Amino acid sequence: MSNNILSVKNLTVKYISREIGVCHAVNDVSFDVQKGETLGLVGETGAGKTTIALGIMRILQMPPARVVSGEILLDDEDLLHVPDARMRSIRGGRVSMIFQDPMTALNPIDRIGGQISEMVRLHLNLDKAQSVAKAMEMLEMVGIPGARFDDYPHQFSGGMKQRVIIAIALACKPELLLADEPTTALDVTIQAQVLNMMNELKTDLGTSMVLITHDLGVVAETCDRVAVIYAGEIVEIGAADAVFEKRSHPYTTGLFNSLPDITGGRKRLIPIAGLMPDPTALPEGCKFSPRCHLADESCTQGPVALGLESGTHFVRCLKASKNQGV
Amino acid sequence: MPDQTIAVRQPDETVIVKQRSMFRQILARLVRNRSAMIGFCLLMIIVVLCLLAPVIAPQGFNAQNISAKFQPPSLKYPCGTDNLGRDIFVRILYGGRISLLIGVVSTLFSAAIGIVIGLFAGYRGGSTDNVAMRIIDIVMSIPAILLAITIAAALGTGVNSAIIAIGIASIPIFARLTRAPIIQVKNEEYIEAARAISASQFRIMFRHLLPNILSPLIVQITINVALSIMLAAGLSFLGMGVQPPNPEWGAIITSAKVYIIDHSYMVTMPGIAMALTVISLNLFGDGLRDCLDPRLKI
Amino acid sequence: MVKYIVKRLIYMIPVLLGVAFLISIILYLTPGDPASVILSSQATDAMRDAWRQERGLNDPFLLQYIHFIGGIVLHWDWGTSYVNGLSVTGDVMLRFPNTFLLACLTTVIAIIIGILLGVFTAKHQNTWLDTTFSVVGMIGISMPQFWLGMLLIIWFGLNLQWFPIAGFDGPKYWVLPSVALGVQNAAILMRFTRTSVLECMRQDYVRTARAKGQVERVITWHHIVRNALIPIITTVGALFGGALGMAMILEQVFSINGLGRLMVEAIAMRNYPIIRASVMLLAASYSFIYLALDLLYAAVDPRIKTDFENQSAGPRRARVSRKGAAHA
Repeated sequence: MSNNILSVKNLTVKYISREIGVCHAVNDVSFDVQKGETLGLVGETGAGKTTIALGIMRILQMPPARVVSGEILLDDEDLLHVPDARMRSIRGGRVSMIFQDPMTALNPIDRIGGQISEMVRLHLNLDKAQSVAKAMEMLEMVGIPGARFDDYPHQFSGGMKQRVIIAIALACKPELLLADEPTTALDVTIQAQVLNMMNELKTDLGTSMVLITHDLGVVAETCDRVAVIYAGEIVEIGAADAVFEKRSHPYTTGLFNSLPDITGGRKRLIPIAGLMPDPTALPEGCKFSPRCHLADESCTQGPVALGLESGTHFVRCLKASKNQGV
Repeated sequence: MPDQTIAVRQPDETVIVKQRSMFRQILARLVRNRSAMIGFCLLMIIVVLCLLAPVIAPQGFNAQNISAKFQPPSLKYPCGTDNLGRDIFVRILYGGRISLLIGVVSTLFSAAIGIVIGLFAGYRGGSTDNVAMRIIDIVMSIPAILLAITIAAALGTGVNSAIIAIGIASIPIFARLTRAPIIQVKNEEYIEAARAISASQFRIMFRHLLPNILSPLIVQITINVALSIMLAAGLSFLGMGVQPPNPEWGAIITSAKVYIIDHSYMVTMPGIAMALTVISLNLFGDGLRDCLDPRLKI
Repeated sequence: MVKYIVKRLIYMIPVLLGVAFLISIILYLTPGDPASVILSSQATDAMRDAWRQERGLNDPFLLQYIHFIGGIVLHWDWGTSYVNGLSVTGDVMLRFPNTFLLACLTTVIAIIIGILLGVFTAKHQNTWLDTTFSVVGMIGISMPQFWLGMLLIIWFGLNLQWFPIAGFDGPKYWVLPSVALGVQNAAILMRFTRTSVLECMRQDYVRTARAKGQVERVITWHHIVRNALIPIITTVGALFGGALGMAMILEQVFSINGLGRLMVEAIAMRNYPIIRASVMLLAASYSFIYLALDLLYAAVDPRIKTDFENQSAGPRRARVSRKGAAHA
């Protein structure tokens, strides 16, 4: 038995449609999540982060999506090959997911309480009264008064809806929580609240978490380890401290340089030049090379492998050592 | 994006070029749309056949041949002959000219009036809107066919009165379909901008608002032609509107109804012609909607 | 909510007054003199004039209109038939149930078939089943109802002799007319439901339900279909109104003693009181059905309920036409 709750190995997902062609959304992605750990998946919009999460939940829209290869091991059980019924009990019961947009993630014509107890009744062996009580408990746990149990989603603000969604996701004490940009759609003040609450609940329940975000601040606050995703590939993965300190991949460096610096050291933000490559026509070799100031011919020769930087810190860059300190 | 380059190079013609290119884009999508193309081809075949009726059958739709009455469909008479030995196929061709005419003219009539009402009600708002919409509510609480029947009764029989009766009955749909998006669009920045340079009300309504809400209206016009053809047939069937021996499709069916037991083809054949026409219009309308408003496409 | 219902009921009054005005003015402008149609050809001009005078037909239009409304409001008097001299309410109420029943049956058929097929085709989007049913649906939408009625008479009435082809005296008689009238509405509803279900299938809350580990059947019926049916409700109202009107033609095809045949006779006889009363009754039942459906709408969708409590009184109408099938 390894210490990993989740282990994604060589996951490749493509979207195939007649109009667009083949879109390489996730390319040979591997990572582990240890028990009790929080892993941050960082990258731009469209990098394939959400596809990874949906793939783990096995709720990708297929077609057009297709999982071409890979393994998703949850406690050594390959989720890609378990029967549907078993997958349903895992989904929500052992692995649950928080979605990006709280405004649309709740069914508009069902009461809040009912939507929480739906989850409870699917996975915990409780009768109706007990599951209602459990749902009520969850609602209060995320800081919403139980009196609002019978309200409808449209009577809630965005932040409160996100709390409800978190209550649903945590109702059955999942072993793994996939949080897909849980705070992006919220106001900054609410973001901090929700994030703190998630952190506390996670610690209380001993849940492991994959936090998907494009916000490096959020990662710094919550994550033990970080994987930086670019064009469907992990370009850098390692302990959050190490990655933040070394910023070995030029793309990671670029992400940090495009952040405002609160200490006031730098006057102008440095954006990363260019755009993410079109996922239907990815460049040869290093996917970041067309935007990279360090790139030379060797970078476009062939696929670049993840290389060991130090300890558990890996980087997919031929120039990694030169990149330090930029 | 070659169209855009042209637009940039000739700033004076930007608007025109852009419109033409949008039109071209829609046309390109339309040509690739299966349902639109099937509908269009079918419709063209029907229209051309009907227009060529005097060439195909110079003897006219009333030429009788008593010795050949009640002939079932055959090679010589594709749709058979009726109680007076008239070739039903020929009657259908001539009748199509009338049915299509009623469909098109009554639709244009109701679209013109309905769109103007909708534009004014939506753009002016306030009491204009209130009065117009209350009147529309009143008209809409009478089923369309019932309204058409009473108006047709008041106007007397004939093609013209059928056109007016059916046209009036469809006005509310166009008025509502125009008004609803206008209310959403009228406060957007580009309309504010037009107001800011003190463009006249008419200019804002017809030059700025109308083009932006045109897509659903164009689709509705297509489909309304089909509805009007069916409504006209219904009117004839009730003895209002067009009367036999005029070969409007509904009128042919109506006059054949007494022979339904022994010569059912007399009823089925003109009905098939009508159904095909309506199908072609609906298919074309469906495809048109997909092309004009890709957001609605699933 | 009660306030909203009362508001809507009050709003119905000006609408019905407007309908009365509209129909009165159409009849007033209708050429042809009822006196010469109804009185025998031997009647003298003086007799005709006296007949007209007696029925207020020589009065100016507004006076006639006020008379008509006043009669209803003060004595519940809807007028007297020119033909048999009896109150029109008797004639009209004798015929109305048949028309109403036919429209209801039609709508029920359309709802059951249309919604089931709509959900089914949406779930099988882009398969051969979907294609087949959309072709069938397109044909269904494009067949004129009275013609389909005649086809049904030929096949099931005359050839197979399964069902009677005339009258409306029992369930056996109801089948052909309501099918003839219902096919088109079923096809319209099928297309609507399909679009609406496809729309809802893409919603985030469906993904949420799936992420909960919910079974596919509950996802379909509880989460998708319930949401998809909300916009369908107003469509049903429009279709019912259309059915009420089209029933008039079908009554002619199947010799059903309904309001439609009564009106066609009345139009031929220039029997104005019958026409007026029938139109008013149809408009009123149409308005009530709309109100009922709007209330249902509010009952199903909590968002609308909140809206309704502080909203102007105008009824909501389906934008049927946008999706290509305005038959009402």
